[in-house]
Amino acid sequence: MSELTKSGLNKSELITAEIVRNYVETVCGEISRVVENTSISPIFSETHDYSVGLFYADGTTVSLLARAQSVPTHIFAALTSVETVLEIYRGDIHDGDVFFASDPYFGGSHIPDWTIVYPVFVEGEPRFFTSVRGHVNDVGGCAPGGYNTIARDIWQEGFRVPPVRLRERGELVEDLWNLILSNTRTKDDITGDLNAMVGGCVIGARRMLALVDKYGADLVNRSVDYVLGYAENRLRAEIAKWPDGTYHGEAYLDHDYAGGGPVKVTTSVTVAGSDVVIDFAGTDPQVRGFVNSVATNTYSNVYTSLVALFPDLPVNSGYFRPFTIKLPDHSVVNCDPPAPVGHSTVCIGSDIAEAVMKAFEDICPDLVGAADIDLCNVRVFGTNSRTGRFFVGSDINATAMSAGGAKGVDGWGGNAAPFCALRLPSLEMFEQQYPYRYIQVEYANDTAAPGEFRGAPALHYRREMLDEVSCIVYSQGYEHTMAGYCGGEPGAGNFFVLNEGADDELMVPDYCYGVVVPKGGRIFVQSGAGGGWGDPLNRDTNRVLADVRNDYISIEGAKRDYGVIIDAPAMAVDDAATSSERARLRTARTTAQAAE
Amino acid sequence: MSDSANSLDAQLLPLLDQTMADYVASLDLPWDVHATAALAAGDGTMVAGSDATTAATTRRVVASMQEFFGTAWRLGDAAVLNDPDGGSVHPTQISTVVPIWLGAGVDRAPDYWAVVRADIPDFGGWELGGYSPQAIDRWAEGGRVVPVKVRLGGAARREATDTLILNSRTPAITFASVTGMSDAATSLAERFAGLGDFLGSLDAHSEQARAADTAIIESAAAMLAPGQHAGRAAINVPWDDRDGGMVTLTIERGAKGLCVSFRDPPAVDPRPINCTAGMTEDLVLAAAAGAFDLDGLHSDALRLAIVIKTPESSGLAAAVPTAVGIGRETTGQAVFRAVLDALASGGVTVDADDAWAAYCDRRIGDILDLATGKITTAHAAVVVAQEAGRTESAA
Repeated sequence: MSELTKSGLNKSELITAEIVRNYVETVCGEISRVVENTSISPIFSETHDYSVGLFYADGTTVSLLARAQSVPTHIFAALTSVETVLEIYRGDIHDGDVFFASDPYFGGSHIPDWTIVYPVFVEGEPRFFTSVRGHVNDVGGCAPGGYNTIARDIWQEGFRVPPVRLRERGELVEDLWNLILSNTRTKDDITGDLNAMVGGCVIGARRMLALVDKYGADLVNRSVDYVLGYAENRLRAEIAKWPDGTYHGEAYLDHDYAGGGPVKVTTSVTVAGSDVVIDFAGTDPQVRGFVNSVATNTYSNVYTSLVALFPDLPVNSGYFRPFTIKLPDHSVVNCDPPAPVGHSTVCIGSDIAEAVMKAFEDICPDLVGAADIDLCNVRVFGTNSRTGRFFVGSDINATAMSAGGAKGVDGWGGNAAPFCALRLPSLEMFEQQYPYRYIQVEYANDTAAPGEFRGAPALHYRREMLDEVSCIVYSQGYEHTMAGYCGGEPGAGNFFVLNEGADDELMVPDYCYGVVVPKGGRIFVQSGAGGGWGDPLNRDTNRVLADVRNDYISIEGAKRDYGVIIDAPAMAVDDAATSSERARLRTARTTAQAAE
Repeated sequence: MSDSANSLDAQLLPLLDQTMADYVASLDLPWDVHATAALAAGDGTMVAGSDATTAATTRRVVASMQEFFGTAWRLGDAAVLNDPDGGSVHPTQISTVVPIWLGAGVDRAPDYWAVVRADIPDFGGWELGGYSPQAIDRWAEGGRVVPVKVRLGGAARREATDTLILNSRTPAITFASVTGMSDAATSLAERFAGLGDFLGSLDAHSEQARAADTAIIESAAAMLAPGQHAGRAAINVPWDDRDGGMVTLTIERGAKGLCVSFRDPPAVDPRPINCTAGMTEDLVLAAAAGAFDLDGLHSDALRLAIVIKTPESSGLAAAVPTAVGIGRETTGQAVFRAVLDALASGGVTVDADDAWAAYCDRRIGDILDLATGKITTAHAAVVVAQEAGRTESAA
């Protein structure tokens, strides 16, 4: 046998371990592609609001081994779903079983996130689990679309399902399958989505069995230990460079959907050697509205922030080992049943991520960036006159949640980091499937948060309804907009206008339930801008000029926010005037700070 | 009544009474628990039931179970539903069905069914108690339980039961109710199957009992003047300013019974005041039974004696996704009163208010405050306290 390395693997086995690491990530990618290509609802096939993970059970613990590029908050939370399934069914798991979990208080995060867990047996034991967690478009309950803005308990949010077995040894458990799907308003579509989730897991399981066949169970298991340990060791090495101490971060929701607010999330991050403790003591108690977060969802959003710090490291459970997370009981980040939780995956979820990220601003400023998205969206429901069928429509184009800046890069595109795998779907596809006619979807001038690296601009979205619909708007971030970092400014906020231009035009900065928009009525959305990173007065003047040329900012905005003077006829930077203006602004800032 | 009929009643009614008594006792609740028990033939026809006016919906319940499960039944299975399209008359009414085989072997469709039906205090939706005036569709009224087995071969099925109780604000009472109903239906099935020699001539007994009931119905119906009789009643929706519409019908006395036809039926309403076809049938049968003093019947004869022509695609035969949660007490009450109005015009007069009160007293109780469309605050308080007490005891 060749000489062992520190990892316990010999040199050729180390190469195999790297192959295994890449292989399992490829398997997740393939599962994801299967789901995308075989699901029915646009929220899966177009928006990609699902995630894929591969989990490893060593007999005592369960670890996330790999994931596809995805919605991180999905798949980190799916870890708890797998753990819950194992806890409930330990000793009663069989080859060909398919498990389902969705209830927030039993391993889920909010009811619409359905999780499929599929065991892969190696040497008679369920060693791996393929899993898909996806956001289905409706789960019954009081409000079509799963976002009940006026819910006061979880029973008003949808049909609850504890972990159940949907296939037993390969045989469909028809009554439970039918029970779950009968509690959705779009059963046909979601049946296709659920089948796609199961199909993806089955394909992934075959690939894992092929891996074990090729290399043998022992080497695969030891490779997995290596992969997990590698992520941990790499991260610990980075953490060890951080200054020991305790750091603080805060974030706020505007409101709790029940007349209360703002809702505070606060963290203390303590670094000691290569260990980190994240404590949420001081966070607000749980609230009446549907922004409460179960512990699983909170962990998941903390992890979302943490993995954003080192995008080059493998993301698996090894990455999380250096961190200890403490949650106060009965709080908005660790709520008790039957508190409603429907909006928590994002609001308060992304505020949890932001509070953590804010604490890291003083630890590793070059690594932080926008973590918050403050979801805004509108669900509409009614009868589609073209089909005669009831429909529940969303469109994540109205939820662009523009990204913030980070050191070295401006905020990009339409989705912030926590939802980086979401896709802005084809407007034409939506027009085909729903009674929508789009009028405008574009970046808005002078909304990009200033910074040395600016945030992405806000999005302006306008559509006409071709049939009468009822609207449910759920929105945060009108007052507490997406934060800037390290001197960057916060972004522009979210708001809606229903029945725009009509006598009964309604400005909605927070939420509404069941407002009617008639046929021909318009919906307008400003989907907020990401925050900036770094002092805007340090921004490269050529970047400012490019933004003016791209109509992201105006000439007046360039002067006001960046101190950059643009010669309009020449469309060029006036360097001398800019130096003078920036000096003036710095002086004014210093004076103002001294006055404070 | 013939000796055979007496024999059938003597044999089966005590079983039904015992079933309901056992179920109610198992719950020990501080309010009236309204339960019904029935034995149905393989095709769902009621052989004997504690309330013959539920024969139509009992038949629908059995049909729903058969349609979904086909022949996939084992001894000891118990299945439930609350789906109004499947025969329930309210989102919190659970119907439990247990298959019965007589003689050896179970490798065939069940010969009979034991059916126990009762309300549970809550099954989700907007409001505690299953009455949600703001519901826009069926799903907003609570969990929709389509046929699902809660026992397999005699073993409790955790996954199904957990799903049911997770969707109830009163999980402890709901667990006790679902378990109690399954126990009661299973006991009924076992006692029935244990009747021995009597079962050998059950078909004959059943035919004779139905014939005897039919004779009673015909005799009662003869009180009605010949010809068509029109009746109408307004659909009263006190919690909402909008008009509820009107139920208009005619009743015609035929050679062997009555025929009920609706005219200009109310359209499907966006509010949860619609009735399923089964609910409408139940209310017609209940009104007729009350008017003709037929509440003592136990066979399927009443259902067979009254032909009900329920207009499709109306508020009297609503199907998913239409909300129906307060349909029994609004449109259903109007159906009930319109039947009485028509019978009165044919010479059979009863006090409609008293009759409706008697219907509610026997089947619903006074838990609903129609002024709000929700359960009364007093009943809600009792339910909450009862649930809390049980949870505390369990802890």
